[in-house]
Amino acid sequence: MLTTGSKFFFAGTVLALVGMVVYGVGTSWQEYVGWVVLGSVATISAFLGGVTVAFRDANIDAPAVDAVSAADAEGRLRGASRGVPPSMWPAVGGFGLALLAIGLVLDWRLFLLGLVAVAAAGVEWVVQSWADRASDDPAYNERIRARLMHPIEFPVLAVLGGGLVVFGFSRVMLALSKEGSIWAFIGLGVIILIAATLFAVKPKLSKNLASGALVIGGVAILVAGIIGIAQGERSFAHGEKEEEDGTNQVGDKANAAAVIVSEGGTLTPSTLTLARSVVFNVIFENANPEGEQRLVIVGPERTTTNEDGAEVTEPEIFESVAISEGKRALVTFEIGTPGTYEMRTEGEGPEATGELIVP
Amino acid sequence: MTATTSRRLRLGAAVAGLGVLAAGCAKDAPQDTWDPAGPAAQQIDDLQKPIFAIAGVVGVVVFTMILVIVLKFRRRKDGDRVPRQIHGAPRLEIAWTLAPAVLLAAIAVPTVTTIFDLAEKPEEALTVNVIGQQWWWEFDYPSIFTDSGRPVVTSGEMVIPAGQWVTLNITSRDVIHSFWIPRLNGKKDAVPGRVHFLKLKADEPGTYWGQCTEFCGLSHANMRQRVVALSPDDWDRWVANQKLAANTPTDQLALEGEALFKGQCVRCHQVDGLTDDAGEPLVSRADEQLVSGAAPNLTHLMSRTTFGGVSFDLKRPECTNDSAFDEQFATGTAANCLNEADLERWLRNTPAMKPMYSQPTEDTGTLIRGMPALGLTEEQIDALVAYLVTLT
Amino acid sequence: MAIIEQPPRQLELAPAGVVGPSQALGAYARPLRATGWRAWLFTVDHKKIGLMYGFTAFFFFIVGGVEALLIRLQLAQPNGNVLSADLYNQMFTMHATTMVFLFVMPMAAAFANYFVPLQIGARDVAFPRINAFGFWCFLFGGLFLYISPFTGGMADGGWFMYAPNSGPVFSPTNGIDFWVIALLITGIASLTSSINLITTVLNMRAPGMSLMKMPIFTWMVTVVQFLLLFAVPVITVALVLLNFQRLFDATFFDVEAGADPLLWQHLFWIFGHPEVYILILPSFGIVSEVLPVFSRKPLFGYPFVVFSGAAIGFMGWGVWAHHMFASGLGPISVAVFAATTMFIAVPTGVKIINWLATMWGGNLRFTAAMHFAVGLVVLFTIGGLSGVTHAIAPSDTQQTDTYYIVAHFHYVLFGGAVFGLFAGFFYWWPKMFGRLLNEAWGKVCFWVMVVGVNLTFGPMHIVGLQGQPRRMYLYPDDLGFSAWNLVETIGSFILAFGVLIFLVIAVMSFRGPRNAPLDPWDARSYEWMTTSPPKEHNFDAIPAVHSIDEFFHRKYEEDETTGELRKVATAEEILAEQEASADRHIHLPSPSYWPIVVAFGLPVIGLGLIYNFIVAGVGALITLVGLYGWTQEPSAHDPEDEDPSAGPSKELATVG
Repeated sequence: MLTTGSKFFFAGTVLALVGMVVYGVGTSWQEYVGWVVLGSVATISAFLGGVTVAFRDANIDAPAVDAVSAADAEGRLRGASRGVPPSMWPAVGGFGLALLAIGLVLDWRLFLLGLVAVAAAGVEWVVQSWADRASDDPAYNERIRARLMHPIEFPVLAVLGGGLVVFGFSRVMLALSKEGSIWAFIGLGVIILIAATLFAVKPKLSKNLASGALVIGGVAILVAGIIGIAQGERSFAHGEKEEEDGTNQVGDKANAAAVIVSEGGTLTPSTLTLARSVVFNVIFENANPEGEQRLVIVGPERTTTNEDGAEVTEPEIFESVAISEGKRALVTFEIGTPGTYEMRTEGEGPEATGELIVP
Repeated sequence: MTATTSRRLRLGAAVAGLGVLAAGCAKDAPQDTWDPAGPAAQQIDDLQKPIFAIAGVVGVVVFTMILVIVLKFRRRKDGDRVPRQIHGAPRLEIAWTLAPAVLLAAIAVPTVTTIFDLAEKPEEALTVNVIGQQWWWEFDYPSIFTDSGRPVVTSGEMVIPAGQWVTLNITSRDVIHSFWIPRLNGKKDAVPGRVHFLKLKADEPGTYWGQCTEFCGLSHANMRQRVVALSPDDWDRWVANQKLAANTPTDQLALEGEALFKGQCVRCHQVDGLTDDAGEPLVSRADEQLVSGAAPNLTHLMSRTTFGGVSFDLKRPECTNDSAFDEQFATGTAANCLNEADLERWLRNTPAMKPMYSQPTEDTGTLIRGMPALGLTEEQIDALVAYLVTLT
Repeated sequence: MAIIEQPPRQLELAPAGVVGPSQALGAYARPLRATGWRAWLFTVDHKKIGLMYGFTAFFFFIVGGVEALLIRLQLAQPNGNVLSADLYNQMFTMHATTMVFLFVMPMAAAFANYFVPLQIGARDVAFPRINAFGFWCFLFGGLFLYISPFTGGMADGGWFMYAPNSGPVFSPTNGIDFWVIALLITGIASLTSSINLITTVLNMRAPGMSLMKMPIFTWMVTVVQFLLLFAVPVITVALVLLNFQRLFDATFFDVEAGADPLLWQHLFWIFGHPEVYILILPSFGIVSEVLPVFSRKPLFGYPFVVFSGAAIGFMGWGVWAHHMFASGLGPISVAVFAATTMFIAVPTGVKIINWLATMWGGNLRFTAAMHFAVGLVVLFTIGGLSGVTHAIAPSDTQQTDTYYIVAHFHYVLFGGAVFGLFAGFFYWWPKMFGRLLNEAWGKVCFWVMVVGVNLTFGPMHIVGLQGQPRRMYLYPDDLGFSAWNLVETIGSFILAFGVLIFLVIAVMSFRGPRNAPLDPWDARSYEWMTTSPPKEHNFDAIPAVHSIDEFFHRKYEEDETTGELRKVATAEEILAEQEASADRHIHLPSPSYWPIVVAFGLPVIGLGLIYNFIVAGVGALITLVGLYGWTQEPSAHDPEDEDPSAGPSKELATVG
């Protein structure tokens, strides 16, 4: 398959690629001109190599083809035109080139996409044209093209397609509330179970039905993902978690250091003694009917640099989300300096204060 | 040897094994799990001993069966006859599937009851917060306040009143450790970010030994703990002592030692009663030195009998005498009993005595995991020891 | 240059467009069937792969054993100073990892690879190249793990590698990174092999062999493959999380970020508990083959033994938190897992009783293999009973993390799994190599090992209950453990001596001529209807199956009058019958370059992840190119590729 002339060009490609990598690594990819030029040389070499392969080194000594009879010549003509099926890759290549140019101006991500498109089109186009000239039987040509390219095409498509589905599902998970996401997972599991049961029970399920169902499922997840992106993520601020009263979960909740209840202006317990330098989870429960409250723990002073670059010394604050009556929230904190620190409630309803003693 | 002899040898080995197991009980083993000294451990023992016995009986039955089979059905001189080819007896097989299931179900009942009993918090109990870190234990008493207004903090030896329930709230500052005093109760892991409950009660005054039982790194083997249960009078005396702050020493060498301590050691180790030049109480900032964020509180070091994560004795061997226990413990380590040799070795080069990570690594920034070699001169060490002796 | 088209190639094709796979695209011919080292490097033959698994696993057994001896030397006396704390922690981590992942699992895979196709009447497994790929993954994964002593220290967090101790803050060397990646690579081997064997067993059985007529060893191996299929992904998830935590600053196990360290424990033990059944069931299968042969009676209650194996596999998923009774789960979880753990003793007990019933009324011949099989029954009973005492959760809070647990699992692993494997060695050696292992010395080896096992692990029950915790590089002299620890150390050297005896026996067996009889044990199952060693294509003609123990039923017939069994055919006669009706056109899978190439890329990726991403890229390139080459090579042997000058000594696949 590799003709002599093409070997020259492919060698050039490899050399230019190696050169590009060495240059790039050596200059930490900062000197764009250098490695872009080398990369372009590599691309052009590859292209020329492919052309040479396709046209078999422009060998002018090939024997002429004589038609045996008029009918035969007609058959050859039909065969020849039948043998070249339409291909989308030239179009993809052109589109990619355009993206390349646009991306140079607008956004480096478009440039990258264009590069990928050009590379894919280049490979596919070269292989397609080689396959088209391999014999006069288009079915055979398609089979050998498939043989070469399917081991690349299918995994790439699977990664892309699967990746899109996973990404879509992840956006859905991020947008849903905590309970909602539990139901979403249960729902997905049930759907998979039903589908698998159907396949097990009726193995002769029509191919169209199966592929139709998969396509619908994939599109559904993609659409849901887009909606999820539009909705935006739910709040994941560190140290804040809202919990419904009564759910009995293991982990933080079952092993919290304490449960602090705010009711009628008092905290129960009002004094907590917790060791220094330990990460503690404390559950705050609001028992006031008046409205939402949060628990605030005022920790030791910390010197930090704020956005303007100035050094600020202020106490570190640990607080929960604001919750209404009957709800519970979690506060996670770690205090390294011994001392007595203030705990208080903020928000609606009677304020309560207490002490956190760190020995 | 003949088949008979070799088979007899085999059963003999099994029986001997069981005998050895039984004989193993009578040993001088301070961490013996079959020697309960408190109601929690007793409850576990009451559950496990019958079950061990049942398991032993089952084992003996099986071994006897094997011996019988091996002797009775071994190939005789006439050699190669093909015996009746029995493929199974389903009813029998169902029976011997159900029988162990029923037996196990019976065992499950007291097991579950004991699990829930041991998880029940006692009504009137002393609360002690237990915090594990690499490679020592800290004990905080949230209900006992010193004269300086802070809760009592000790390490290594947890002192409790005998005959009274103690509720432990166990957690960790770095990796997972496990708190275990075999003669008083089963173990409970100390997991960072979580607080676990364990209850202890010692029927009689005494010292009860234990070790950290969850692999926690380099010196896991050197992380031990003890529970010291005191009679009511001794307990009151101990509490009264713990409430006092450290006094300024009178001895010249000890004063030098105190100055040295304030200059270096107090960065990690807290001693209540030390003040800085301005007269403010000195607070140790171990969170700025150590990954785990704390070092043992040394205010009443000499009221303990061990140091270094209960790996080394503060007392000289001739002073460690069980018969005078109450007196021994209630007065701590007297100056004439001090194990200076080990204490000086510790101050000379700590990592050589107990492997630790005394250098910061890439992921710990400037913090270290353990006490570094301080590079002290011999005079400095003598001064320090003289000062530490005053921390009664 | 002028562009002149060449005319399209004319094809001389028979019926329109039939393309044989041997019309390869030039570059990807498959290697010739060769001799010498090439025969092993590119082989896809399940028997060669089984042997390679076996030799490699035994090598790692020695390595793990040396690590154990070092541990015992350090613990022979209180305050020992043979190993430093750091080295000791590395030693027990690597000992466990090597023994579990690089010895017992691959040795079971060795037997499974060699004998499952033979036992079901197949000529190879369903996916021979994947089979080879699995072996190379295991080998490279194991070698990768042992690069770590040379790069700053081996993994030192224990084989269970609890977080947060396994994180970068608390374990600064690269040892754990090597450990994580090595386990990921060997996990690929287990997973691919499980898919392979399941497909083989479900699809490639001999005519007439229903699932309930399969030899029992194949049944147990099948259950194990299903366990692997579901358990390996779980440990993979855990390892990937840990890998990202260590290499890419993820916070999966960072408590400050809100993580719960118990996540690692749950993930690890959801894998870890089925893992122990993965370790023991193949040995149960071997013993279930050996006991009937040497009792001259069929396995008692074959359906019950099959179902109890499947039950163990299934119930094994519901007990994992019994490794976490002291981890602070809360009384409800603890009670539930205590109950499930107690009930999993039932199917295991059923097996033991069925084995005893197999022997009862039989005509017992105490060959070396039989010694090991009966030894397994005794020692596993001891280990199993101590296991039941662990199920009692309050009692377990005293036992866990002490030497009592170490005693339990060494009895079930050494006395159970390893003794089963040794029974398999003695039983199947003549079939694999055409030579017998010396029976007298085999029995000596057995007795030395029995003494060694009991002396090493027996006293551990005692010191464990007396409070000696695990994973400690020293113990002080005032806790009462000293005397028994010395006994245990002496026992461990006796045990090592027993293994040495076996090595000598094995080597000596290759010195003699290949003259083992065809049926030395008067065996019962299907795999004995082959030559010793089996021909490359296993069977000249696949015998049809009419009952369990097909081979036995061909040799013995029931006399109508007396009801006794008399021998009507010898193994030689049955084999001759097979050869006479040999298949005319046997098609075997061809060797291939690509499995080893693809597997080679994986440790390179691993090194790159730890040190330099360009190296990882190179490794990925090797793997991807290898995979592509794999797809391009013809999937059948092209007769044109053969070298006719090689002569008749090269055994060809085609017969007739």
